[in-house]
Amino acid sequence: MASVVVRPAGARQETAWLLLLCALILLVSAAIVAWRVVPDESRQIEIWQLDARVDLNAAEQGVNADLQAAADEILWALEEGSTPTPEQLAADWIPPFIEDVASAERGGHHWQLQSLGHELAYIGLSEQTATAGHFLLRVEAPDAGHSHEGAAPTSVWIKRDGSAAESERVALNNMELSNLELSNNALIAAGWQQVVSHFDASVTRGTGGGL
Amino acid sequence: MKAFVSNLLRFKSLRFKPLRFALSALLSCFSLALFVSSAQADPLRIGVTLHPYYSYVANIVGDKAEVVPLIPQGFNPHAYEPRAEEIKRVGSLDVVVLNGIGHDDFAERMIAASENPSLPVIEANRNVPLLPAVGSMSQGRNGSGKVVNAHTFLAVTGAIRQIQTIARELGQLDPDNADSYRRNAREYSRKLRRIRAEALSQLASIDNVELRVATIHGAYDYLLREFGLEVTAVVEPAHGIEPSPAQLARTIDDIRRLDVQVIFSELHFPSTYVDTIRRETGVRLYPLSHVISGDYRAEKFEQEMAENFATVVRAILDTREAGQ
Repeated sequence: MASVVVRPAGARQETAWLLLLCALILLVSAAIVAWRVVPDESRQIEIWQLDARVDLNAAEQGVNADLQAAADEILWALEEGSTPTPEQLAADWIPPFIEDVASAERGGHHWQLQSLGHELAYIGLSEQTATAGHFLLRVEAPDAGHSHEGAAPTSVWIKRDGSAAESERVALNNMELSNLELSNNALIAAGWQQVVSHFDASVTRGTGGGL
Repeated sequence: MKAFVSNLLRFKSLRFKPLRFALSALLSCFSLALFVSSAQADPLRIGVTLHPYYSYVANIVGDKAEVVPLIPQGFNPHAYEPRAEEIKRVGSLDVVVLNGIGHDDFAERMIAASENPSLPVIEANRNVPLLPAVGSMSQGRNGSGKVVNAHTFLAVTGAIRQIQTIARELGQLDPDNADSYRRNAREYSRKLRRIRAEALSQLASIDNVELRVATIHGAYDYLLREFGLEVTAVVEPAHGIEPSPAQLARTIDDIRRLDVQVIFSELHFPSTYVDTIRRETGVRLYPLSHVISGDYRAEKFEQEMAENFATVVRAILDTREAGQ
């Protein structure tokens, strides 16, 4: 008489194989991820520089972005032979020189122009230093023949006040401005910091070159 | 011309070698001159990936170049997969203008797969001060600061900075028209600045624009900065990703806890969960345009941005009127 072994109904074996397969897939995936991981390179900036993305507050980021855009307009005007004053820039609706609700929210800067050697300095004194620091836009005249200290023809600088009283601060700043010297070393010594920003292409993009 | 060419064609019959050589050189020069003049006469074909860039480039180049959208009308760039005919079209372009920071990652892959993988690109955002990405899933990655908010095109300052870069780099590619590009870029920038100035002038009577804002899509940080506003909460956990029910519940709690006064939603991409947020929180919703759908038109960006500015102004004024 033939005997047939009938295993009890159940999926224990299939479950075991499935779990093993899942574990294998996870293991392979983890190995691939570990192999492909790119170390997080932190960008080094000088101690006298501030990163616009992480070191500035929202109000300062707004003023900096506007100044960067205004700088091109100023350069173009200089190439055409005119030196735009803050009042002229405001009349052409160029922020941050125009006085509006946004400028008030961002510290209420009062802008003045100083011409120092072959450079122009657009200085914005902050009315509310707790909201945003003082700003300085340096613009090199196009016919100067060389960029300031090897850098781009324009740069943005910021100075944040300490704890001095408001009236003292303005007096101090006015005195400082009359003696302002436009060199990196002099500005750094006077407590100014250069605002720098960097371009990061999308992290999910391949490597590609620009022009 | 015909007589000249037929004379040149008969030069084979000439037995005198120096004369044949001279005629050959003359023909080569003539052909080269024809090639160069036709190459110069051909306007640039400039590829763009998103509607705002179509408007920027169309306004910069005017009738001096052709602007070619990479994505056909009606496709959402948040979930776009290129098709063969679109990749083929890329091969006929001279340059492509990229957002490059997260809104058109498909473009580089299209270029790589096209007949011209070395096609030059203009990184429009190269000189824009970028903000970190927003959304709960992005926050943990902001420490490195590498994941950035790609919506620089949804603000006047961000747009102008990109227009300046595009005009300058197009001028390098096409020096004959560089002055025209620069002139047009300045004029267009002025037009955009006026939109912003006019919107902000409507808030002149307000001393302090305080508004606690949430947005559905993390697209409007650059725009709201132009009003001096910051976004308090973003509903989407990452760019273009809908929240799960658990994430939605957390966001609703956050909106209540942070006492958000206004939510800016998406005009052309309505989602059903937005109604849930409105129902649960009772906060007013104002739709803003992402400017990435509809037809490609030169004036599209300025028109839709003017509407966006008007919407934000209305939200601020309504909130003050309601005494919140």
